[in-house]
Amino acid sequence: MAINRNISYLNKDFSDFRSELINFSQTYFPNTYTDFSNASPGIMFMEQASYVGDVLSFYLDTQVQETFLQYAKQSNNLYELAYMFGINLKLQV
Amino acid sequence: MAFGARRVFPKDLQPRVAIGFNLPINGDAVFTPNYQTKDAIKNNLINYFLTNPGERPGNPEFGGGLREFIFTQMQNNNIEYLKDDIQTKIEQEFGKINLLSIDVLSQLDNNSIIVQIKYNIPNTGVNDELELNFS
Repeated sequence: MAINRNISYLNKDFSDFRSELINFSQTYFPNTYTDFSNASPGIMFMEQASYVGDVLSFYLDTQVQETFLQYAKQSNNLYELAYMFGINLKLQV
Repeated sequence: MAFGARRVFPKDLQPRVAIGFNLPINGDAVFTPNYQTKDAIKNNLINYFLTNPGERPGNPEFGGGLREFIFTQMQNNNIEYLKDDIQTKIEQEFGKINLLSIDVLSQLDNNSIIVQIKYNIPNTGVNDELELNFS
């Protein structure tokens, strides 16, 4: 049976992920790990996870941005979105 | 009559509350927890001095950076500089420990440096020693 845990889905960058991971550990594992000083090895792992989260958030945001005609930056996506709206653009070489 | 009261870290009195985990990470359960603040501080020092500045994402200034001295020419002024560097970094990063002595022993024939750091934690009576061997 799944355990319900209070997880925040609003954090997006490195420092948000880091502080949220520390909060999570303090809330759900109060006796397993209690050293949250900058030099502790556990914080090193949390910062690595935060780094991965930050990079994944960036790519997620970029991919979502590319699905909107107003915000897309890559030319092939702009052509595809225009084609979806019935505009047939010809590439000029 | 006054007496020298010794302070104890509250978590040290709780046998089931782990503080950190030991380095290196090669135990049977991968992470071997430690239950005394003294052990946690020692592992934090090891972690700090074996990290080079720039290795930690989001915290590029973190790290003792001792490995960069391995390939430098061994001279007396280098060793004095190394001692000062270690002292400054410990004072900056570990404000709560009191440095007693730092000894840098260079073994020219073995191309190795041994760094011995002796420290205590004020008011607790905890004295400890850390030896890092770079070869």
